[in-house]
Formats: sequence, C-alpha cells, structure tokens
Amino acid sequence: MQMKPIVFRYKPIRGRLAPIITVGVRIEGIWYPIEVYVDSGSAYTVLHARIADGVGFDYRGGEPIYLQVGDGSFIPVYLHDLEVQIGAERFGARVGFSEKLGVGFNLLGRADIFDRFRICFQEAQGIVTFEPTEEG
Amino acid sequence: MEALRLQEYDDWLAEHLDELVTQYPGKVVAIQEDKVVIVGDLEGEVYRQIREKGLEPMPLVFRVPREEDLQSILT
Repeated sequence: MQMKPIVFRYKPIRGRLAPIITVGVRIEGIWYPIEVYVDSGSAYTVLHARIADGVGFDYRGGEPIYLQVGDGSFIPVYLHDLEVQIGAERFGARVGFSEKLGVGFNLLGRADIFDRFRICFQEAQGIVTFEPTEEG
Repeated sequence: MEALRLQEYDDWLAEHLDELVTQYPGKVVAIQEDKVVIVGDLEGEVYRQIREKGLEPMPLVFRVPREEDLQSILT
C-alpha cells in the first residue's frame, strides 16, 4: 500500500528557498521540535551541541566519530540512538551532536532517514516530500 | 508529539522565517501559539525559561540564522 507523503514547504529566506523542516527528537523522555536542513550530503543527522547543553543532555556519552565536512576537515560528532518523528512517523535513528558544526543549521542526514523515506525535492513547487517506504 | 503540532510550527516558520532573520539575527527564540514567546542568546537560557514558565506544549526553539549563516546554504 502506498503511503501518503509528508509535505513540507521550503522556507523562504532573503528571496531564496531552503529545505528546512520541523522534526521531533525525543531526548530523555521529552519530545523537542527542532528545525533541520535536509542535507543528502551529510552521512548522519547532526544537531548543534548547544541544543543538548540547553536541555541538559550529556551528549559526550555517545559514540564518538569524525565526520568530514564541506571544507575537507573532520569534526567530532557524538552519536546517540534517539527517537525521531517526521510527520506522524516515529522511528529510532542515529543522531549526532557536535560543538564544531560549521553551518548555522542542524542537518538531517542520510543514516536511518533516507532509507526510510523517498525524499523528493520539488523546488519548482517549493516543497520537499517524505514518502515512507515499505522497508521503513 | 502531535504531528499536527509539528506541522503548525513548520507552517509558521515558512511564513515568518524571513521576518525572524531581520528582527532576531543570531538570537535563540521560542515559538508557541503562532508567536515568539522568549528571546535569548543561548539555548540553555531559553529552555530554562520554558521550564520555569511551565510552557506546554514544548515550544519550537530555534536559533535564528545570521546573514553569514545563510551563505553556506543559499548557494
């Protein structure tokens, strides 16, 4: 059975459009709505460590890895298995936290996300859609 | 959390993100019931106020990008 896609509007900023969407992340039993930039170039979902600090989450207790970023350098990321919500879909995903994320936005990356949804960037329509896959 | 709540936050931001970039660049804002309810410099400060005020449901806490933050995504 084909699942209905979840539709997000691109966010207009300074006359341009950006695929920024609102997702839920459950941290120590509390759901937090968080803005993320949908980034197929990022292997993992990575949130700014200041969010973890802000909610009192010891992110440094996660699995430490190094991720290569756009300028070729590597940044430390601490991975955690957290519950994530996109639309009405809830699932476990690896979510990293980093104090060295060089971009101003949190990133929604591929691991545990892009295999769960068919993600379609429809820039002409100003929307990005997430269609749950049967594998998810 | 309620999917409808996530959708409302997302829709609100689609309408107002550009205004936030003008009004609160670099600030951390909490959004609830279609308005900015807290403005601060750090996420910790904003989440602390949310706890102290007992705000429910959990507001959307968002660090408003500055012009230089936009360069990395609006290429």
